[in-house]
Amino acid sequence: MRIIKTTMAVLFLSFFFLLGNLLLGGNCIYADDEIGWHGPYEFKVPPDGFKQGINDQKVIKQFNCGNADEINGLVPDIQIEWLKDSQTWGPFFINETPYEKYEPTPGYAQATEKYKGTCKLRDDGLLLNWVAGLPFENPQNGWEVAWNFEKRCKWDDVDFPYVAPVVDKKGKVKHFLKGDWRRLYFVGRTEVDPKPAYPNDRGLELMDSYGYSDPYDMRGIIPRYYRYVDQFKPDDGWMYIPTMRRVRRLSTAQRMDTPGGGNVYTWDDFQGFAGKIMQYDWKLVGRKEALLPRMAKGTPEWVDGRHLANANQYYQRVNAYILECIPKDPNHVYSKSVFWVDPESWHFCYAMRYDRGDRLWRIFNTHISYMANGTYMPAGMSCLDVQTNYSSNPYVHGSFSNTGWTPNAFSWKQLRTLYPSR
Amino acid sequence: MKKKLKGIMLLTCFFSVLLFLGAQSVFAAFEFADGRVYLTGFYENLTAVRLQGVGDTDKGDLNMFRNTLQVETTLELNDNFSFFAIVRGYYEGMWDLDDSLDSRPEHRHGGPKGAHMKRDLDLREWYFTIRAQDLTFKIGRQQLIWGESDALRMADIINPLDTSWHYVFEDWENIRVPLRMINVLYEPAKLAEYQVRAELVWIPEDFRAQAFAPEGGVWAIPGLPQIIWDQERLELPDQHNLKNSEIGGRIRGVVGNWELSVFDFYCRDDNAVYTFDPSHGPLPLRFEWPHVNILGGTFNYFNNLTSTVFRGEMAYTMDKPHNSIYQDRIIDKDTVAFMLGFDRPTFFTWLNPARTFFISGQWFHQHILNFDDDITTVEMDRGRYWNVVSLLINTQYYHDYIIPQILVVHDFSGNGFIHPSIKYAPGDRWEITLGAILLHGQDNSDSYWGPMRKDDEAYLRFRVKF
Repeated sequence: MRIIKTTMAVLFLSFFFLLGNLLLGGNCIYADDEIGWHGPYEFKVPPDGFKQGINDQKVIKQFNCGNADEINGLVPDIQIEWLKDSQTWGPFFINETPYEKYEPTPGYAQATEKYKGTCKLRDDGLLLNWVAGLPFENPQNGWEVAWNFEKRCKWDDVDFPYVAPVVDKKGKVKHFLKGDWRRLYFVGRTEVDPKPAYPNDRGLELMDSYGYSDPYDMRGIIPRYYRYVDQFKPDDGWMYIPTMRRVRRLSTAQRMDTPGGGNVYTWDDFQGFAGKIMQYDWKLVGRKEALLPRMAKGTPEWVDGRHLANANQYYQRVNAYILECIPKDPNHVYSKSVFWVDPESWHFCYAMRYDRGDRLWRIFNTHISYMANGTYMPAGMSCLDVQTNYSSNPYVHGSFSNTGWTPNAFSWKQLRTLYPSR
Repeated sequence: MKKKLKGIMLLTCFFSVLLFLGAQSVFAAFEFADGRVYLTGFYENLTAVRLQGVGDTDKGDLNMFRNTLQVETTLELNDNFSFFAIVRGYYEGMWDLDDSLDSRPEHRHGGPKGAHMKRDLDLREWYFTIRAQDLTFKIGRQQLIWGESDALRMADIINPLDTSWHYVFEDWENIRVPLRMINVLYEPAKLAEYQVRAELVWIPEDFRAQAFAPEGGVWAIPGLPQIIWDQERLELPDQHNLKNSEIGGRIRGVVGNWELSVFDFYCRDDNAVYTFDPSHGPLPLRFEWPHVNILGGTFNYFNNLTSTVFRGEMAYTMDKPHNSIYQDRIIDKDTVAFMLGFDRPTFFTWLNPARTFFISGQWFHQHILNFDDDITTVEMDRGRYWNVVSLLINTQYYHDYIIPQILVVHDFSGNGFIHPSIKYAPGDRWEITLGAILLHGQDNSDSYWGPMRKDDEAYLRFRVKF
């Protein structure tokens, strides 16, 4: 009898526990976990600060696990899952703020006006006649949207120091990657002389470097790339490797490989897309109302030991472009990618990558914020492998742009000074 | 009994260190003064066992139980002045753990004048870096690497090697012998996009010969008696003598899609040559390390059609000294050597959908010009022609947690080795590598690996970083 009573009590309590869970949303966890800047590195504000007001926007409505269904279709389906299942993904909030019109930098706006109507596409989609500014004011097809993204308002030179926790399936931080990404543009320059192009006889479009300063095994590794104006000319790459004490030439053909260090994103995934437009076919799927992190706060926050970058960001409602790209290389690791594009800044705020079996594989959400000089910075990038529940999320801090760099800023002498090692 | 106790204490210390360091919940190097002072390093245990017995050794004997603590520091006084140092200490415990091992090397140094075989604490590298406009000066004890080769060396000629404790089966960084030198680098800002660099190196006095295992050592050259090393040590040039001066220069840059360099280095040969001389003793041999001049160049080039980096280097050694079978003279002959190689990261998505396989191959060739039949081809000399090929393949699984790798090196004379390994690196704090060195060779054959052909081993490397 006693056993029967005990068993019934246990079942009774279990029933109410389950009922309570269902009523309260089962996997819902509110922000008991601290949302903020975590990790062993101090957060740094850009030297000139952020765009005025961007960190203190008025929230119209917050979407969380309790009301996630209200924004079905306004964000990718996977984000609805994130909102609802905070048990797996951590607390996550979408804070809708009032729409704010995007304004490019003055030089970029002038260049857009000056070169308006001059750009056109070749039969294969190659952009012709572009000098600076936005190529297509009202894009009509996928290629035009893609080129608008490629030539969107950015910077003439930029440095993005970042910290990226690499988080495993169990929510454990494997390590923090720390480094800088810096870039110098040779063409399309609108803010810093020389404009619109930096004279060079190598036909360079840009120089990139990605130096690592932590952890120990990555410290002092410095990949360095040249990209050319000629879309059909391959990139050139080199890497200083401290254990070898020398520079090694890189093969730049396999940009669908990851940079190492446990990173989820490939070389072509950075900031949504960092590949060559002409290596893909672009299709405009359509337009739809969407909530995009297009005016995100510049102070990145995340929940310690959880996957999602910027767990408590600002989102605005816009009529986004939905863009699909398919690699021309039949052996590419992705079968296709889908991007949700801000119709004013042309950033790829959401990027979904599909594997060869057309299954969703990797997600890249770029939260676009702005510095005081009007140039953008990705406050954080959610880079998730949804098949293995693994993430590496770079958070940018202390960034600066348009300082008037020369190619010498990318010399090995300078780079080895920035990332000292053996 | 004493040794057994020592061995037990050693093992206890080893596991205590592992537990302590492994239990630390937060990995971080030590950073002070807003990052201007940076301290990091690692503790490592390398344990190796023989896979076959030879002579007095048995299969399963310990080849190594080496414990290493390495601390690295960077001090940045300002943007133009910094200091870097590596302190490395090690303790080889295999003689404490196994009484049956040949204990002759236990209290010896590598020959002719290498590090102590059992224990050492060394300020391994230290140098100041001074930047002024387009110039960079690196002054102090350091490693300087030229060349494009992996696994074997050709243009990597500045620093000698210490092959006494693990032969050539370590990363070069761990077995190069740092030297006191002045390295000046000129990188004109105006030519930054061409990556032009002109370099000058001067090693005023610090000459060190290549180090080998003493007699009885695991990686000793079979049949070479200790007396040879003892005598070589006596006859080494005085380490602190300007007569040892070595000087060289290199210019490199990017021309089109090619990265090219040319170099010249005037130096002492790191390996001794000898002649019969009854006035010397106890062996009637006179050892010397003559100066040679090495002129060479390197290239690398990326070809998009094949998605491959091609690289190569060439070294022309003027009057490279060789031993005579009659021991009556040193035979100086010009020697040409070159390497051609390729790197091709390749996706085999059916094997690894997320990461490429890094495939790297090389062909090394050396040719003694105007060959003299009196030149000895024993004692690991390479002979008139020397051809070696190497193939390295590695990849990463599960977000770079698991890294399998295989390196195969084969000399056309029939010697070589296969070095498979698998590394597990779940985070920053520690990693473990399981591997094997499997040598092959023909009887009575020499070259680098022939004499070691029965020294196969399996090893476990455990590293904890801080």
